[in-house]
Amino acid sequence: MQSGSLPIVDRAVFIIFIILIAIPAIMPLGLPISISSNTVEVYRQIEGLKGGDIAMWITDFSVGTWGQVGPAEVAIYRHLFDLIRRKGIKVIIVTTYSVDGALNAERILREYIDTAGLKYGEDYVNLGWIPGYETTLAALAKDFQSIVKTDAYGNTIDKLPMLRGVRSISDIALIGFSTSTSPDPYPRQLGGYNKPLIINTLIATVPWTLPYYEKRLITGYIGAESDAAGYEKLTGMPGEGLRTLDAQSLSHIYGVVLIIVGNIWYFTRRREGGRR
Amino acid sequence: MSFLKRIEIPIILFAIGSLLPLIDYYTGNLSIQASELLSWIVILVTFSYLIGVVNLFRYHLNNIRRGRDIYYSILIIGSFLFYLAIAYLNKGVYDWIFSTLYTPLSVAISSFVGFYTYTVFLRGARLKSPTAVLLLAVTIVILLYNTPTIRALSPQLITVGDWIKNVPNTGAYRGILIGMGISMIVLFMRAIIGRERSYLGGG
Amino acid sequence: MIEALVTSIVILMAWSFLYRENIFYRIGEALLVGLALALSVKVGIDVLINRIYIPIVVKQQWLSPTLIAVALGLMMYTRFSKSLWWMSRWPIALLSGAGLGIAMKGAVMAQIVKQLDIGSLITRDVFTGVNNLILLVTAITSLAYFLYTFEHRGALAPIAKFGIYSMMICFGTTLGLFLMSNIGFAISLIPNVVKPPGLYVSIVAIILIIADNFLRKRK
Repeated sequence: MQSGSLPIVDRAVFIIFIILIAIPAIMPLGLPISISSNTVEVYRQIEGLKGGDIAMWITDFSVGTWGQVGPAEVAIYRHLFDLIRRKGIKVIIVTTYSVDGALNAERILREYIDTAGLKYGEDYVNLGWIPGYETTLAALAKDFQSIVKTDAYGNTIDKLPMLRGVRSISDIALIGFSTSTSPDPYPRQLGGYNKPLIINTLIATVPWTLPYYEKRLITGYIGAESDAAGYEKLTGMPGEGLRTLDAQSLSHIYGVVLIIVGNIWYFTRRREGGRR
Repeated sequence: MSFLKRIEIPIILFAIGSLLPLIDYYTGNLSIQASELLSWIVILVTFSYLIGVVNLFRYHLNNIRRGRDIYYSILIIGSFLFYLAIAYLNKGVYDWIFSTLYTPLSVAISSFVGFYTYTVFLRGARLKSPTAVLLLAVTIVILLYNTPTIRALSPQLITVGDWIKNVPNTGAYRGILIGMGISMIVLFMRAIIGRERSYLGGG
Repeated sequence: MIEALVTSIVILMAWSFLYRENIFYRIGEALLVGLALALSVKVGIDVLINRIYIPIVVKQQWLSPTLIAVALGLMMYTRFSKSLWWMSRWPIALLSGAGLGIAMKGAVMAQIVKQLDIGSLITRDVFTGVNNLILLVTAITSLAYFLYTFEHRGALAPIAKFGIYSMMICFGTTLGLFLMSNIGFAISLIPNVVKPPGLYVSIVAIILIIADNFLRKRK
């Protein structure tokens, strides 16, 4: 841990970054955006759910990555709950990785989703955190009832009508998950069942996801705030994703500028050092 | 009693734990036992989760006893006890603390990496070799490719970025994934025959 | 209003570390650790109540096999005992074995078999064939780099060298995305500190930093 101050250059880098992202927060620039094809693909898969279909969403991202994964997660939850009303789908929410995911899921349900008119246990259910991560994923796919005894609030399965017929992954029409770590366990345990498997993750995890996506073990991915913004645009429910787009654009360009400036500085000093 | 301390017993337990799901998956036998094991794992993981908490608690109580970083440790223990009590006494306050204190604090501390990544770009991203040039060139292309404004203004960049992401990048990641998969099989074989004991804490 | 004020205060307490380590940051850090501990314990207790207390004590399923899992779970805590620590290896071994077995079950298909299928090199669309060839070459060369069993000499040397270049493309992509990933945290928090009431807290923070700087220079 640092005990002294940072060099003046580092402080300047931080201050410029803060100014760049503060400007759009105060005064939106309205820079143009494009919606990526992967976002459209995810939207179509979720929108394609039919009445009576059960969607299972596994919220496994940590609280610290809320800024990254949260906006898309909120947008997807809103879409799913909108489909409950429009088409009569059912939604299971569960967490397998750590307690953070369950807390994030509860927060989204509490602060972002309007559940008025929906029946808990019949339209949607929150199973909370079932510890075990990959073991839990394997059990959810193979033998749902053996691992799901109660929901997040202590209600047993017999009090949750929508879960009575759910025995394994074959009873679920679409599975999605959010993660801020490795995506490997999910396609390992849930892929290969011919079910749509969607991931919402950090942009840095996307390259890791692509080999699975290419083999259709993962069928769709959302991996950036720009994807979250695009998703909000597609669903017509604006949120944090759209609000932060301008800041993202400026900060990415800033990163490129720093690489170029850093190398110019390095080569200039090297040449000066050579002259001496 | 000394028989119970032998290393072979945990190795056998490891083998049983690893083979049950595999036998169930590949042959369909022992399905009930494998399902029962999976439900046991949920309980074991919860217990192991709480070990970390116990450890941290012990460390900070020790600090308070020895007068080392005392106020810091008192604050940790104090906030822990307070929040745990609130969790069972008042759910409204519990949720409020989670949304207003815990989440922004957690995200703010996670955000340090972003700040320091910029200084890495300024000080560390040097075009010193052909591999470094390739690395940084791809970094710049990917950064611009993922800039919402530049994507909207330059469709050609989308094509180039898509190609880099879907072809050479995916190919290399595939090689890494296959390597990881093979390593996992090797690790499994070594652990089953008792050559790999790191999971036992060097025992 | 109060929520926004408290949120901006904790964000600035954490970010004060970027200026220098200070008491505000340490308080924030201690709070985070304490709250995180409490959250883990609370949820852990809830899980144990639902999976152990209710089935065994409330529903009186005294002969449930879950009792073995409970016994194994409690054995984990013997690691804190100098004489009984060896007992903690049993549940850890079972847990590690089950984790590895389940990971292996999925890895063989998802990470090896499926990834070996590259696709045809001779396709109607030449571009697809070329892309499949590049996929094949980059996958094989990057895998060849990790063949530590053989020294990178002879035919293996250029293949492994090309593998390094393949992986540079991979790591370059990851580096760019890594930055994007991490700046997202700050971007999501900034509205809290530049709009009122957070703005007023930010002004106070800036004044404190200027004052601290001035006092240090005087010393």
